[in-house]
Amino acid sequence: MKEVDVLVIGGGIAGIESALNLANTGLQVLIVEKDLSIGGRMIHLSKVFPTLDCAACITTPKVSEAARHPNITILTNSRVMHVSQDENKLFLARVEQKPRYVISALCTGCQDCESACPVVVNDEYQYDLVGRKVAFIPFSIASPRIAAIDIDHCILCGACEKACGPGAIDFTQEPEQVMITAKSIIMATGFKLFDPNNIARYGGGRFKNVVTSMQMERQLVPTRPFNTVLRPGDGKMPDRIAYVLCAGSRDATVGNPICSQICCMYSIKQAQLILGALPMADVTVYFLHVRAFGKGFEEFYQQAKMMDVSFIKGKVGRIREQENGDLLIRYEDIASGHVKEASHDLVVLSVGILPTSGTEQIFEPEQPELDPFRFFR
Amino acid sequence: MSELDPTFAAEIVKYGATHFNACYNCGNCTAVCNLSEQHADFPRMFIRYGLIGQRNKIVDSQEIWLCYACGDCSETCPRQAYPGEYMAALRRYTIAHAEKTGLTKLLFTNNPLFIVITLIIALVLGFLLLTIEPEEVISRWLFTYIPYEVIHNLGIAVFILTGITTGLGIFALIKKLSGQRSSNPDKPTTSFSWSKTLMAIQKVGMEIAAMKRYQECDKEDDSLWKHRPWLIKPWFVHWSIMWGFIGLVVATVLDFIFKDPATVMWLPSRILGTVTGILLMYGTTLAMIYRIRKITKSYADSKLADWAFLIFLWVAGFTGFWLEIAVMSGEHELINQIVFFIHTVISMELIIFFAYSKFAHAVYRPLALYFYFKNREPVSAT
Repeated sequence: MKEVDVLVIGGGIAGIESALNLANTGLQVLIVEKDLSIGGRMIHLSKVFPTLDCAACITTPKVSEAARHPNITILTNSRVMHVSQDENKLFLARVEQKPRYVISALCTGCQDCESACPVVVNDEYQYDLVGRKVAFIPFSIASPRIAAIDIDHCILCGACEKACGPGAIDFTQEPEQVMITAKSIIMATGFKLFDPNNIARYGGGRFKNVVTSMQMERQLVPTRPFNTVLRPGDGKMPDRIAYVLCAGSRDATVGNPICSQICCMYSIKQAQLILGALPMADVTVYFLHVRAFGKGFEEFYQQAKMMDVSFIKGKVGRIREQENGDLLIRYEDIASGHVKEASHDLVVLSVGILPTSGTEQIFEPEQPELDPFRFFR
Repeated sequence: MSELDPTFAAEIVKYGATHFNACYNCGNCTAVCNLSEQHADFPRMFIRYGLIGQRNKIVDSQEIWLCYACGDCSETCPRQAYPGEYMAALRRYTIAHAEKTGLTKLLFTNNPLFIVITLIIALVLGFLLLTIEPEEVISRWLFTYIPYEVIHNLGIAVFILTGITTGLGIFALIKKLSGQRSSNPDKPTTSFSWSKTLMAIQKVGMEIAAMKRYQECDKEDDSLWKHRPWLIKPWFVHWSIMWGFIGLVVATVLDFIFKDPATVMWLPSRILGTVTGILLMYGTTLAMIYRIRKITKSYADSKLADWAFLIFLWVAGFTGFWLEIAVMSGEHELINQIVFFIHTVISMELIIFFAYSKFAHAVYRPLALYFYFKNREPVSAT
């Protein structure tokens, strides 16, 4: 039984920031992160809007600080399975730590296992743009920088075991249950991205040159997979790039009738970054209403316009794939009131975000109340 | 100058449009529609017209008749404003608006009074059929109670009545749709040209013969119909009801002209009647199944007018086949006489209601298509 003051569920930027603030006041904090590394979504982003500050440069110092903080304990690759309250209103949590199949204390992060591993699967940390090994360090700025084995895809060939100098590979590891008592809990479970496959007429997951905004974001970061912006279908450098806003937001037919509040701005940001990477590209943003509602947001939007990003009012109705991989977008140009079609090399779906589902179910017997959009009340 | 009518939106609601004020003007409906194109852009613009009350822009438009209500727009509308149902309501409104007696309005606003009127007309027809004394008598068991001569003369009266109302309607409609009353500056006003007229007639003919535009609907990968056999696709259901009905009217008219209620199966008019009757039964049965099972959005929101239309046709077809079999087998039973009575009354009502029901679209749509094809400019993509 481990006793802490605060249990922070989720090791993203919100969880880390709150843990640091609490730990600095002297409270004992435990961060439980389901992923192999803390840092959440933000550590994978390029720049933040509207200041265009480097996202990783904001995240990584906080990640290191949290990792070295004497009052913070971090459990990665772990999930809070069950939370109840005793008669003194003290939370009792059961955390399951999944095995990495690597002994953390021995791993030096040398990546010899990664070179030796013969199996390649889609790299979820690069949003499936490239592949990764099954014995791997999640990404270059991961914390902790400890290898892990993706046992679901492992063929148990033992190549990593032979390659590992310190002998850190251990296939006999079992899931561990950790019991926690905490005086309070912070839910920092973040969001999940809208799955573009849910909108068949946009061709997400079907057309190779239709990517999500997260895939485009990865192409714009320093640790990007292709070291430039390419379209995935044929590796061509795209000249005409389209952004389809409200792909999975403000759309009752796909179960998310509300605005995600970030897509307009991140699309405007990416449009500007693309013009930095590909100065000759034409970027067109198809929008319903640009919601630039924060401090400096409107100026940021105007700045994109001045950089010659085209903004067209009209929701994209259909996307059709041409034989050469180009994409034909059909939309109604609201300004003229006429249906139009436009050809693009690459289409970015500005996917919305949804609250992480099911997180309320770990609480028993009483569950926190949710609003109709599945946010905690 | 356009006139604005602030009460118009509320009026449209009575004709079956729901939720259309949820529209946030994104244009998704226009963009997903395979029939919408530059200078024939619908439905979004028409929701705008409806909300601000530009009645004339709607009732004088060709566009509302270019829509076949495939339901793609309603299926994908992010605000669930059901633009497809809205377009259908506009068509109902337009028909009712042009029809002065108010009968169509009753039907299209789901007023039960319409059913009462239907029954009264049926009673009147029935009374006339049973009481008028014929001048000459064809003695055949079928005509024991309802003399052939009476059906013949009453039928002619019914056709003339419908002919007059429809003719007047067509005259007013041509004036309207040809753009003479239109104040839309987008619509090109072209001088008369023979080649364009012939081309338009040919295209309308193609549409009636093969439903070429209707087939454009339901072509998309995400459509329910994409991978289903054409025999059960909505365009074919529509095609078989339409040709079934036309064929039966022609067969009836032929019977009238030859003044010989044929009992021989192999007369051309009887063969035509049998074949098109099968088509009609096939189409109406499928359409009713789709409507009961609400198979897609476009079949989910059935109104009194839709049911009245289908049930009338189906009963007319069913009783027709019943009689054909009865006549062939020569069974002189009372039940056959009753069926014959129902068949005659229903068929006459179908013709009487032609200009006052969903049938009116058979006049509106081809005319609108004609003017659309005639005035269409070559479309260029951006």
